[in-house]
Amino acid sequence: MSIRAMRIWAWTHKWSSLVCTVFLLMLCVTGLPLIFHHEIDELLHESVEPRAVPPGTRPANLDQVIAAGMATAPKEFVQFVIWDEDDPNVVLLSVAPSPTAPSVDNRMIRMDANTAAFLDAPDVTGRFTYIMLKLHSDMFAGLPGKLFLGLMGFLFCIAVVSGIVLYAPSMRKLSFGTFRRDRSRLIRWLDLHNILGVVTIVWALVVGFTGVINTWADLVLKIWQYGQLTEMVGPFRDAPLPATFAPVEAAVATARAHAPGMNPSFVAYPGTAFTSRAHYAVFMRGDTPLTARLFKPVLIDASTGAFTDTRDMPWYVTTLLVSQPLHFGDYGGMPLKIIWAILDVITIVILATGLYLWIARRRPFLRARARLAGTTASTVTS
Amino acid sequence: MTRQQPQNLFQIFMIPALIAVLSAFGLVSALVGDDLWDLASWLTLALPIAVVLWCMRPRQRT
Repeated sequence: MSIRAMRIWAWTHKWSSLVCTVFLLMLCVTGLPLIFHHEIDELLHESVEPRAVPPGTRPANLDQVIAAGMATAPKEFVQFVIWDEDDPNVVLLSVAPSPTAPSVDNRMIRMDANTAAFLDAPDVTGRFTYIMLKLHSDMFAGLPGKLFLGLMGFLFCIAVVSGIVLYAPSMRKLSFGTFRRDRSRLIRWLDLHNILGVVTIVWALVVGFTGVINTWADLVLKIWQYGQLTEMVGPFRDAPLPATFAPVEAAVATARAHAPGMNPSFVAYPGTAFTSRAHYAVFMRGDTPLTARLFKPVLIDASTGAFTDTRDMPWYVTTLLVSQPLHFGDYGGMPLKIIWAILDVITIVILATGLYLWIARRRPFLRARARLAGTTASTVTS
Repeated sequence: MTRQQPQNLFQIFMIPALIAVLSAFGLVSALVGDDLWDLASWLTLALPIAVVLWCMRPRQRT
């Protein structure tokens, strides 16, 4: 590689990493507990368990479950009915002050899926994991914060790629994995930076870039609303909210009939961002780790209960949905989570050693400059 | 270890490329299935960690 090309890559690596390092450190530190958010919540917070039932018990009628839950929230409106992924005996009702309110601050009501009994409605906003999640996803700064962190993630990916390019000249005379433990701290930390960086390339790029994609989730939802959802809704586009609601239980049964082999994940109520003002959208999913993430919406007329349309989601939504597990590391059991955590810590070490290398290499320059400035000053004063 | 002969790109990137391919496989395998696929994912993604430990292993000074 020419000296000029090398200089450009070195400049790219230096600045892409310097700009993103502080934010990446924050993301790695807050991301670490988030890998185990489920376990941490279980440890820190009591929750009412659903009644134990023999396997194969028929769940309660969904409309009964919803009615019982909404009886505890008379001034609120149900926006989503969600089957708890972790506990098949629990159904969650996501409620808001109005049917069309933005769903970001929704309250969750936990219901027993078999007995239709109210379990609890925990306030999660004060929880440790909630604060970590907010810091990690948007630093409590909404969409701008999210997009900003996405940009930092993109810079991180550039830093990884430029780091690979710089790895070659720095390793020309060293075997793979060389750690010169008897040399100065600068050399030792450079070796450590190189070893840790080069073995985690793919993981860092995948987790980094899927994180960037996740920051676009709100935009992807908007594009889907204006694209596929509008097409599916067709002539119902300007329909008002239904005066009376058809049974949800029947809507889910109709949805199952139109998506064989799939199970419902959640029902979006008319007026929310996931459907029209006239439809229930029953989001169906498959049962393998991959297909469980790929939703298929089935639109059901919310006043008549009639089937309207169902389609596979477009590629840009699929990309977002597939990128989520690859970012969270929650798709391969506890061992995968532990590996994710170790690789996260390794990334912290790479960031820290990289920052140290920049400071340590600058020091001789700074000293020389200070000396030079001192001489000039003394020349002037004498 | 320092070498007398400088390495070419192939030599420099052979092991990192192998680790990269295995990690990519591991990231995908737990997505497509359970059990054996999960196990394959754990092993291939733990490989980078094992390599780091091997590189940093305590060695007697010569």
